[in-house]
Amino acid sequence: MLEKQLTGHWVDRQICAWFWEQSIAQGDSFKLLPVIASPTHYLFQIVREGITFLSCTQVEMPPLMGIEFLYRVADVLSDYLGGLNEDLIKDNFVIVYELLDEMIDNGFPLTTESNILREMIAPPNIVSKMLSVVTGNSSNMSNTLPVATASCVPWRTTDVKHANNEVYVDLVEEMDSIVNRHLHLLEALRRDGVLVKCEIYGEVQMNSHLSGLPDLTLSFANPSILNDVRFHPCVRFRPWESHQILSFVPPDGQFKLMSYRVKKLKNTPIYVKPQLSSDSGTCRVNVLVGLRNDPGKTIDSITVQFQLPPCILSADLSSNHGTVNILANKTCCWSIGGIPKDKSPSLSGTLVLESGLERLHVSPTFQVGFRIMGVALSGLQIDKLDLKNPPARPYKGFRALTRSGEYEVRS
Amino acid sequence: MLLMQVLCNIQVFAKVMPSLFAPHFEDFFISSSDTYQIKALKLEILSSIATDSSISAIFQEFQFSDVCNDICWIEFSVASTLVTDLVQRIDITPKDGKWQDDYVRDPDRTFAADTVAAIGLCARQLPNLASTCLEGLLALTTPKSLNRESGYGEGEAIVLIQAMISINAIIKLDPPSHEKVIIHLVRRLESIKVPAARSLVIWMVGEYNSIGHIIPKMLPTTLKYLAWCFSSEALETKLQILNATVKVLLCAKGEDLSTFKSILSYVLELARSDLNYDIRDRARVFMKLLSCYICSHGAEGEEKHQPNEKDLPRLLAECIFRGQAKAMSPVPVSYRFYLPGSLSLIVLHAAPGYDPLPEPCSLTYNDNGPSLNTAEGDSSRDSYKVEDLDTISRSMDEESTCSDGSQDSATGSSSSGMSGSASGGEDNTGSFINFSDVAKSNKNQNGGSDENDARFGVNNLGELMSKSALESWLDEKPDSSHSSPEESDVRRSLARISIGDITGRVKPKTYTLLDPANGNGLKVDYTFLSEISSVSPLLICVEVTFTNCSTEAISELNLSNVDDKSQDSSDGALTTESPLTSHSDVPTLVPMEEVTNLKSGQSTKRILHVRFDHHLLPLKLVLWCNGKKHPLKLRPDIGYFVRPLPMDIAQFSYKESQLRGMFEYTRRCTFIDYIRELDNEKGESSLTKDKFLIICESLGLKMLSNANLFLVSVDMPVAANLDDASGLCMRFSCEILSNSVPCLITITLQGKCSEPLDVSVKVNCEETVFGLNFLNRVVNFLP
Repeated sequence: MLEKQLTGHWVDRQICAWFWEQSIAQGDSFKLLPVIASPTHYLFQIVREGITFLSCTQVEMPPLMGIEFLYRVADVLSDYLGGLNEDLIKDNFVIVYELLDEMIDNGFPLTTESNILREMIAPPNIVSKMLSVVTGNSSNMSNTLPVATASCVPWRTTDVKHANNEVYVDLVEEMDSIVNRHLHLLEALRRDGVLVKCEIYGEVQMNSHLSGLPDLTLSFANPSILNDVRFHPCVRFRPWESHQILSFVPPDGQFKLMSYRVKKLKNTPIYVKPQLSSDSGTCRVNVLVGLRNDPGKTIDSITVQFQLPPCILSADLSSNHGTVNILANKTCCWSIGGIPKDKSPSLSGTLVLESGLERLHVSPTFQVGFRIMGVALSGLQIDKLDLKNPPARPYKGFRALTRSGEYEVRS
Repeated sequence: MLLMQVLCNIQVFAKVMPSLFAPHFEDFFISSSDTYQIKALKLEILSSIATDSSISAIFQEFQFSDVCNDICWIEFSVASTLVTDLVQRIDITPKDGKWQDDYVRDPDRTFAADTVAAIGLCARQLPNLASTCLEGLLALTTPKSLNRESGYGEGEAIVLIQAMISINAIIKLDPPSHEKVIIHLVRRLESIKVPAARSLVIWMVGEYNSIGHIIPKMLPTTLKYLAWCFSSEALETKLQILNATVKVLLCAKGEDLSTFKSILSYVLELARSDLNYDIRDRARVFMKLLSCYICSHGAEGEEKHQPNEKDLPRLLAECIFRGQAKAMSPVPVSYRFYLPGSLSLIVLHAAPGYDPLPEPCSLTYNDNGPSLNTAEGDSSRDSYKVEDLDTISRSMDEESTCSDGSQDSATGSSSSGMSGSASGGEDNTGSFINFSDVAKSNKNQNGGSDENDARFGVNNLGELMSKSALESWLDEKPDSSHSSPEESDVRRSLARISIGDITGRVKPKTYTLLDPANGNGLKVDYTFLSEISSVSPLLICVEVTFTNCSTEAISELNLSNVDDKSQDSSDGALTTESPLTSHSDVPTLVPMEEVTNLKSGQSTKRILHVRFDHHLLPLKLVLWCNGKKHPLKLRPDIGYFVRPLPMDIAQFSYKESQLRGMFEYTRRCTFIDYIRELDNEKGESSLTKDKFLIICESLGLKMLSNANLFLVSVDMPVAANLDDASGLCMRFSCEILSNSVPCLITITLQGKCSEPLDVSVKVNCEETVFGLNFLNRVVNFLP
């Protein structure tokens, strides 16, 4: 347990004991509650890879702020330590403590930008560990305050120099969709389900290695399709509102420039047709997967996953392409990979039901995963990327990637 | 987790203004990987934003989530950690034979039931879609595994019951148009095995027995079937069968009558020898009520001869069974409203520091300044008293500034804080006790209202026995509209009184600061004053009385703080006094002006302004006397860390409702003080005072003389047992001096007047530590 008292108002350690008691008593449903009212405090919690981040307050405050801050802490820690687990935190105890010290001051979030934190606290590496062991000086805090904290673009370190200037823009999109089976039998035979919801959540990720203080302008060919945009603090609002142009001074390194949603898409790149028919104690399963609209690029890492109903005694499933695994928690995982040209992959087999059960009265939901490189399925296109005061001729690179988010096919 | 927060906030908006989110209903569709809480929230939002245009899509979605949720119970095991848990359970449970027990806890089964409830809600909100919804619900009642011998799992039972409840609610809106649904359900009766669902269908049979043409025709068969399987039914179903049979019989005409009669007597016979006493009781009641129907099996002629005698039970029976069920009132929007984005919204109670929107029009008249009144009463008297005390305290200041040693003790005592309240008490000696109805305002003063209240109580008793109350008691589904007036009647039979002259008798406790034995004949006492310090609101006024018990005169008396080195006898030091604490400009102790000379046997008073800083530790003082110093300890009293906060009962209950949960603490103790007073009362006067009044007075006095409070209201039980003081309730309010956080105290009594009363003290205060300390203090001084 790592504890840091940040204010003069001392919080009793008892609260953690209370939390654990409750957590053990109530099991997993407790982990899902973001806000807990304990007898003395209000607790905010997030759970990241088995590590619980907890913060507490006694007075009214926006809970979103507390939780967002915890997420930031978790992000920064995993960024610094290259992952999150108990051992990593134990090994780098000093750094974690220093980070917390910088990130929060007297109960208020202070520096949460990882770029600046990096300048103040050196990330752990072998050399610094060696040094600290040899010299006995365990502090890896820099003595000077980063200049950026006082500048008007606090996210960017002031004096950056790169040997080769380059900037990469990645469009990463996730497709969330829900496909229903048809209520009417005839239609269900004819077609392959109704698209209830199909939308794309996308992010524009940038990786900039530019010297000096560059000013970038990014414009899209079709910005009108974007909904619910959310920007990195470096993006200026005015140009976006008037011309839908992103104008910003980028932080150094990898960052998320914006996120957006594109709603009401018409179709999905692949189809999944599950068919279940049960009779006299067994259930025949047949799942077909195929391309619907060829996006022009190869679709790979296709997986179909579904949970076997609890009333099933045994399952015998096989496919003509890819591998089928039934995991311990009765999840059936079919990894297809790419779709071959000559045949369409299919999974078939029988499920043996519990004795006394004639028909399967429940139907599983199929979760589909896929990945398409080089295409943004939303149709979003980047028009151009301009640089003002560029240091030299920088190298500009664009990439796009679409993968499935919550893609569900209900049978 | 962020999602959940956001959804919580959206939910608030969606309830108040569904149109905001109506176009975005698709975003709230549920995906199988959502947790139960998120699913439930999304569902609630969906059902509140449903509109005519979107309902079909939403409804279809609901159906899917139903269907999908039949398997959803596994979905939750996707969380890999849960799986181990689950496996363990599966290993253990069959041995114990408690299979179903675990399904009840299954979050997703309950979610499916929630969905069904949401469908019902939608149908009620948008009546023109009721039939669509009904279709879906009926489809749900069709058991999907008819051949499963073990019947339904627990999970499915919940869904089925919920579906029935929803169907029932929809039918209630317009019974005649849903005749077919009822018929359908009745036909399905044999396959509906879950008792709760089954009894609901049977209730519908009884309730809607005369609707349409087909239902009356199928009644004989239905009832025969029910009578046939009566003995194998569950308790609730049996009760409903009894009810339904009687209802049908009362409505029956023509040739079916005799069939129903024989069915009823058969069922009653069975019920009379049932194992369950509830059923036996009900059977007996019905036999008495309906004796005319049962006995006159073959003798209809006899009935006509004596219509009058038979009339009463029949009328009664008709009253009970054919009374029109009141239309269900729309679901009240009873959730508490908190500002979106606040912590209070998530935890559903006001967190400390939560600042609600001000009441409409409340901002115009808010600055009365700190008012000084310590007593209750109507507003006119209040303002009078404020002025009164004000002038007195001002004159007191003047008096004390002249610092005259020859001032005699008489004037000293008259300038004490008590005189203010005493003069306030003078003008209401005429009305000793003010009765007022709860419904009315507090200003009712005449004695006639006493009578009013008494009559009121009698009326209430009459109403308690009324037909509607009896009906709601007998009917299986007591209508909420029936029971609620009854409840409020009971509450209204408490009289709210205000005790007029109590403040005149408040005597603050006196503590000893210096004993004459230790202080060379100088005695120093102190008393906490209830008024607010004129120097700073953070200071507490303490009145210190110096008495010279020795034979010699004492000079240069002064009190100062321990750390205070600069203090000497010169007047100049008083003005140059620097603040003792660095973080605040308010000193711990405002220097008192010196008593230059105190003759033998003389006593004088001074007001000290002390800041205890919220500490309960004693404050160390130094008493300078004849050039020598004596260390002293001034013990703070938490009861005076507060000032009275005048409010009316409405404000009180509003505040109280904001301070629930972790801000509410209760302790119990006993209260015996008044018994002595009761005995005195018996002895001296034949005109006995009301016992309750004496209790109230002594309790109020005790509270007010030990803490600086405002008496908000006194509720007394009226009628019933004169010796039973249970329900007597006093409310006090105050606010903490340092931060003006309100603190509410409710004292409820229980027990008999002649014995020590059981007191439960409840404190509602945002400041947890202070509240608990305060509660302990109250519990300490009460007995």
